[in-house]
Amino acid sequence: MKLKYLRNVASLNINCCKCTGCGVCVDVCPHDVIGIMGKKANIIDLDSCMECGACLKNCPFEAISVSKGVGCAIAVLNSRNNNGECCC
Amino acid sequence: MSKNTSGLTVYKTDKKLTFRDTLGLWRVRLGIKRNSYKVKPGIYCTGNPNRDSLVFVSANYKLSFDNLRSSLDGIDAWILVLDTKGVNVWCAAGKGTFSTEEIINKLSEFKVEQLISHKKLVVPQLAATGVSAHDVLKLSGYRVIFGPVRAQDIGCFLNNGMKSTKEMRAVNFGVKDRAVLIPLEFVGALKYILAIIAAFIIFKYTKVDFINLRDTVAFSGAFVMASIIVPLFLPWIPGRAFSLKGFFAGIIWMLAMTAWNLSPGSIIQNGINSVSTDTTGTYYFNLLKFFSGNWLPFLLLTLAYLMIIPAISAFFALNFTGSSTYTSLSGVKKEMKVALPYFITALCLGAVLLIIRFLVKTYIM
Repeated sequence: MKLKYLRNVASLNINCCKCTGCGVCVDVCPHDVIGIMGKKANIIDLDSCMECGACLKNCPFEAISVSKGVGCAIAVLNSRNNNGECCC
Repeated sequence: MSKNTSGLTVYKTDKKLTFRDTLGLWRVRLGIKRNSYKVKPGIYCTGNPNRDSLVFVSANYKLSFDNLRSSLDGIDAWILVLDTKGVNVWCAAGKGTFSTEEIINKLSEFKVEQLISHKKLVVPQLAATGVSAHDVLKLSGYRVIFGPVRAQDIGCFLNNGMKSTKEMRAVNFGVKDRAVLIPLEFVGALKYILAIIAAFIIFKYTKVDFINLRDTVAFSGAFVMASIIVPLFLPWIPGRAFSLKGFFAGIIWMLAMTAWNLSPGSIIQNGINSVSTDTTGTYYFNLLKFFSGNWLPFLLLTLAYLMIIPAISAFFALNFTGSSTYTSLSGVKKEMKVALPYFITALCLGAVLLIIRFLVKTYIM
């Protein structure tokens, strides 16, 4: 059984105009969120996206946008308290 | 343990994990000095690597390094250990210590080009969050090949022509992955449990009838539910939000504890206590005492349990998002918007109910 987090919250977006379909994003994604369809990268499983930012970091064409972060409640709390750096 | 080839320091290592390594593994899983379990950054070799051998890049968290070297069985290779401040690959990449810059710095600091004649680096896939393959190529000329998520798959990865299959690329969170996290979760919960027990002992010693042994078990159990039961049964507990899963686990525990409070023993005890004698020595059953003695405090206590226990479980289960491998920041923020106000409100209400119960028991009865 594949565990999935909240529905429709992930901030992942792919700009299909910039995408060349090279597939690096597919190779680095730890949750099989992206697939190549019609020579372009497509989001095939948004709810599995954990916003780790691996695809963003490795897209040579800057076709991907995502507000990258670590899904850790303690880190969110700490960054609220000391406005900024998080920890886990 | 080091050998010198034209002024370079190379540490020799092998796949063997000693008893000390295993001991260290359990130490950090219990959270003891977890932030200082490091290996020295540098170049290591396993087997007898030559100028054509592959270079595997690793973090300097000793668990990451041990995992890699024990997976390089029969493979002659170089290992480039970065300085990730003793943090594992994935977290270091997220924090930016396992980064494009760090790889480039360490390549030149350790003079890697003097050891090898090729320009390839095998970097764990989970480092992709911090390492940009095209930037490394542009800035240093080295080609980053992302290896499998799990070091154990390196053999298959090499046999597969340096390509990860779909399974090798996927991060799992199976029952075994979750079970190894439980000691750390439980150690995190322990200080709260000890605080509750300490409060109980103080109340007992000062003879203040605020919480009894059962309440202590009930509140401590809320932490146990969240730190052991929720991780273990994660896929089967309803809800996607971790706080909701914790809430459900807390409700189950709260019902179990209420059943215990209602158990025949306590009702019988209650009945015995309600039997009194009058001045003539006749026994009679004091209905008023039976109800006033227990009914109201019981109701107050049950409501307090209903407020406090699921709230503790919900909030502590939310803690587990940090250890899980699939939660997003957007999701955690959304869930906390609801969970945090709920937690504070429920806990305050619960405390008020406990105080009222205490006052009722002390001054009315």
